[in-house]
Amino acid sequence: MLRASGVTKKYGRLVALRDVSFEVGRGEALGILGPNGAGKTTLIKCVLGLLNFDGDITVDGIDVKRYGADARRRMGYVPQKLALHDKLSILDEVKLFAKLKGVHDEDRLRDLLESNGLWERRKDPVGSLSQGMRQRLILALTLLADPDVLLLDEPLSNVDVEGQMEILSQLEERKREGRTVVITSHIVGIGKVIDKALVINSGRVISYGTTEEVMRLLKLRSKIYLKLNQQNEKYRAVLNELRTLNYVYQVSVSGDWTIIECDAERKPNVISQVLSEGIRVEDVMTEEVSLDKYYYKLISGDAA
Amino acid sequence: MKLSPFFALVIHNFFEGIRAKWVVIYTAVFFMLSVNVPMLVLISARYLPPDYLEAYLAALMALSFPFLPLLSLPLSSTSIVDEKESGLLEFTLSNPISRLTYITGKLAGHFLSTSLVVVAGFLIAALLAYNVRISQLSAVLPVIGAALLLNAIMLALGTLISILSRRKVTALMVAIFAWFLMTVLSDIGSLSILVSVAGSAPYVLFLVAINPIEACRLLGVYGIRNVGFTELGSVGLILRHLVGESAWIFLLSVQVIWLAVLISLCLSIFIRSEIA
Repeated sequence: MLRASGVTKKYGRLVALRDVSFEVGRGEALGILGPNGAGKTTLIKCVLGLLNFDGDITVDGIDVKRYGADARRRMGYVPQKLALHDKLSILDEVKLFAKLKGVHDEDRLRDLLESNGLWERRKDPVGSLSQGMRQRLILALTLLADPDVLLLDEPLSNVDVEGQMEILSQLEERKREGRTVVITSHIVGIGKVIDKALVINSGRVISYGTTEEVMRLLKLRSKIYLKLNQQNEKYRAVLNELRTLNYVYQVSVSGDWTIIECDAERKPNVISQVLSEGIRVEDVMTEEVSLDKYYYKLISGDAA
Repeated sequence: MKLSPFFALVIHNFFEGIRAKWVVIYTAVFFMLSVNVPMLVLISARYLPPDYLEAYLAALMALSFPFLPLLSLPLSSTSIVDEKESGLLEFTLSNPISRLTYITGKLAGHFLSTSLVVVAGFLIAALLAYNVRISQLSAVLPVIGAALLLNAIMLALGTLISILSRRKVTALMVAIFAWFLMTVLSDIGSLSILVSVAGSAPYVLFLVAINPIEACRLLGVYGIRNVGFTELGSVGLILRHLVGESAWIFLLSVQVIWLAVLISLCLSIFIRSEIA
């Protein structure tokens, strides 16, 4: 569905992207990962035809460089900056973008606003929306023309945990509908949604493959904070047992809190293990570790 | 209603234009300027001859044309750069529309909204305040035509500034400086050259050509019947002496070239530009 081959983007002497290639099919999700300034947004903008570049990008076989508007007809884009016409009413904003996308079905506009909880507020100015609601509106606008490919630039960075969960479940749903999803993020959570990962740094591809392959290479970790009401023999036995697991890296205690560092993808296993031993958990917190230091490891070769 | 993306953009930009605070303020000021309260007092006191309309229109152009760019320049010079800064341009152009559709839609929408102000200023003032009969409207039309041409040139200039700028503040400053250059500085420049280069009257052609504000004012003045020496001014008289009765053709041609060049630059630069 979406194919990039040898994409190179230069700003004068600065090489923002160097020979980037990837392919993502229908119903698949590609995660573009990398530290700030890696070239993730530049790559998305090349896909949209907003930037000139060397190399080829095709959407459903349509050349983005030669037939930009046709290619964009098949794409929906959620930018990092949630910019809209703040003075327009929500309904007028939706109507404007519907016309730009060639959507003339008024019922569809209503359905989309209703399904996103925005119909009741349709007469409110866009500027009155919270960040979360704004993102919801942009996602609704993006889906207006029923695009085959969804491009999301750091969609999880401006929303709370609840919002992140909602976006991730929406993306799962879009995948099930057969859409192609491309998402840039520095938050570990997208690992559950994406099928392929492309790790870039300073415009160069560091790693590209299935999510499992790349995540294994990155060795992503999370910290689980458990507040337990007992620190008895049974508790100590559980901690010792956890220490023997190959996906648990560190177990420490700080006051009432027990801190367990483990593979990001194995958090549910750790919590299940603790609960299965009959230990009562009073509170749980998790820390999603930023990928940045792992990128650094990967770039410097430590993680390999 | 099924609207093409182009017309959707024209309508959107039209309403954006007439809702802009600056345009609303300008409309009020411009309307008061065109109504010309002191002249209204003179008319009501019957101190003016019945054929005062031509004199009034010429005076109105001299007074209002230098300020006309202040309607279109701030609006157009900030329009694209503002969307660039906020990220709205990126989001809008991620839709299946061409850059050509976007930029022509914006230019057309802003031209319609600012033209409404110009037409309202001149026409409504003429019809209501001065009780101009429909048969006399032909006297007002050249003025409106010249004003609309100046408005279009300034919109294209402002849009070009906006395309080339990275920050809204810079764009606005450049636009205001361009206006200042065309009104205050160029006027001083023309006079000094006229005085110092004795016998070099043809230079006037060049000076008029590079200043759309003065050229459009003269174009409007030439369009008024029975216009006197006072209304033409020194530059207008030299122009008439050099080019004769076809001076208006020269002025119109030069302004159309201005407009064509500016719009071509807007289109070619914007279509090739990168939305970074």
